[in-house]
Amino acid sequence: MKLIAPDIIHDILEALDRQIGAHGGVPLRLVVCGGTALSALGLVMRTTRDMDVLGSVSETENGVTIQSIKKFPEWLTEAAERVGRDFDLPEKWLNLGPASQVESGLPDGFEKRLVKKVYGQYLTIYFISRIDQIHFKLYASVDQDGYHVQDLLALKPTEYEMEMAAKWVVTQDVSEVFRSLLKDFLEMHNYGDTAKRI
Amino acid sequence: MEIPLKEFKERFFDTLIEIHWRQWTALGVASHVAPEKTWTVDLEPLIISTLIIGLHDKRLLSSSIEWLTKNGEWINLSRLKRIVKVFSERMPELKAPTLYPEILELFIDTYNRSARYKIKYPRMDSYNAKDNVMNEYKAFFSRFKVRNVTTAPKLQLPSMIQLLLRSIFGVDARTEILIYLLTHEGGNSNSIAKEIFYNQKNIYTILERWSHAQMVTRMSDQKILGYSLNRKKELLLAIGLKEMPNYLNWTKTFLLLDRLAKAISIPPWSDDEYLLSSLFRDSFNEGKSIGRLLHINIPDPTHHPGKQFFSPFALGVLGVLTKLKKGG
Repeated sequence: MKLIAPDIIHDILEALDRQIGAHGGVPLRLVVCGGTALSALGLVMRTTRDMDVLGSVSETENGVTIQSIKKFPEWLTEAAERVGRDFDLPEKWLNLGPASQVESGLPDGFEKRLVKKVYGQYLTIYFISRIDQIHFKLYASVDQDGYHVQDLLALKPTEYEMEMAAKWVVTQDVSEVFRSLLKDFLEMHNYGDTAKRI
Repeated sequence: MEIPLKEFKERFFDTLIEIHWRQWTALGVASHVAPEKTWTVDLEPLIISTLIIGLHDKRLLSSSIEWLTKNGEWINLSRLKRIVKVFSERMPELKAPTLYPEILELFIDTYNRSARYKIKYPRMDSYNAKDNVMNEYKAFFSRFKVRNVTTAPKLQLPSMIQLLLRSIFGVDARTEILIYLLTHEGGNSNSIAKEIFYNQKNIYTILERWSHAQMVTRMSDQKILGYSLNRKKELLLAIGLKEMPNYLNWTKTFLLLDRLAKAISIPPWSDDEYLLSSLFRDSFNEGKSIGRLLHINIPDPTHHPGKQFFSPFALGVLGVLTKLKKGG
C-alpha cells in the first residue's frame, strides 16, 4: 500500500476521471481540502493517506455554491476503488471525512477562493485556497498535534492571516476551554499578538 | 520498453488471427498460412473464439463456418455448451460477456441451414448486444455462402490428436481425458473435469472403467484419488504419433485473449492506456499462468502503478501470442 505522493496526484485524478466514465458516471465537481490540496497547489509538498472531499460544487452565472455530500454515488465509489487498486492506495483513499464542515460553516469568501482544475471529461476538482487551508489547519491544530501543525507552519501565515483564521476558528467551537487552547497554541507558535486580540 | 496502443492493437489482432488461421488450416481450411503442427488443436474453444474475433477477418469466419457445416460430426455439442457458458459470463468491468449469446444463435441458425449434422441448441438469455456489433454479425451471416474452400481434417498432423482420438473413441469425454493424461503426470476426476470442461462424475466413471482395464493406474498416495496413464509411448505409437504435440488449455487461453480483444475494441477502453491497464490487472493471474507455461514473463502489476502497467503487460501478451504462433 502506498501513500499519495505529490507527483502522482494528477495521474490519480485523471485515472478517476476515466473510471467515472467507464462506470457510467456523470460529470462531477468536488471540493478537495487536506494534504492533497496542499500538494496539488504546490503549497506544501508532502505525501498523504487520502483525499479529503468537502462537498460538491454547482457553478452558475452567479458563482459557485458548495453542497454537502452525505454519501458518494455508487459509480464514484466503484471508480475510486478501481483507481485505489490500480495505484495501490490505502482503502477509502477518497473520502468524505471533512464533509460535515460544509454545514458547520465555511470561512467568508471561501467559494470565491477555490482553485479549479479540470481532470478530463467528467472530473473537476476545486482545491481550497492557501488562506482557507490556514483556517482549517489552525482549527485542527488546536486540539491535535502532528502533521496539521507542521502544515500550518509550512504555510507561513502572516499575523493578519492567522488572526483572520483564529476569528473563524472560535466560531466553530464556542467553548471557553477551546478559546483558551487556541490562545495557548498561538502564543506557543509566536503569534502572541494575535492571541491577545481574540 | 514501451509500446504505443495503436501498435499493440495491430500486432495483437494480426497474431491472434494468424493463430486461428493456422488451426483452421490444420483442420482443412484452404489458406495462406502453414497448418498448426506444434500445438494440439481443440475444436470447441476454437469455434467459439473464431466467432468472437471473426469480424476482424470475415474470410476466416466464413471459412470456419463452411468447414463446420461440412464436418459438424466432429463437434462435441455438450462440451461446446459447457465452454460457451464460460465465454458467456458477463465481464463485470465491461458489463458484457466475451461471447454474446445472440451471436452464437446466429451462427447456429446459419449452420443448420447448410449442415448435414444439425445442432439442437437451447435458447439462451439475451444480453442486449450493442446494435452496431449485432448488425455487423447479422449482415455477415445473412450473406454467408459456401465457397468450397475446405477439405476434411488432416488427421495425420500431430496437432489433430483430438480429432484422431475422436475418430477412434467417438465424440465424447474419453478423447479429452486421454489427451489430459498423455500430457500430465496424472490427475483426479475433479481437476481433469475443470481442465477439459466435462462433468466430473462422467470423468470419474470413465477413469474407473479404465482402471479396471489397467489402462490407468490409481495413484493412492494422493489425498484425492488420482489416475495416471499406463504405457503412454505405446499408446502414441498405436495411433501413429512419435510424440505428443504441445498441450495448452485453449479454452483458458482463448478466453483470456478474446477478453483482451474485446477490451481493446470497446470505447472508452479501446483508446485509453490507463483504462486498458486497469483491465489488464484483472487478467494478470490468467496471463501469468499461461505465460509461465510458455516461459514468458508477465510482469507483476504492483510494480507498475496506473497506466504504467500498459506496456509491460501488452508486451507480455504479444510474447505469448508470438510463441503460440511460432510453436513451443
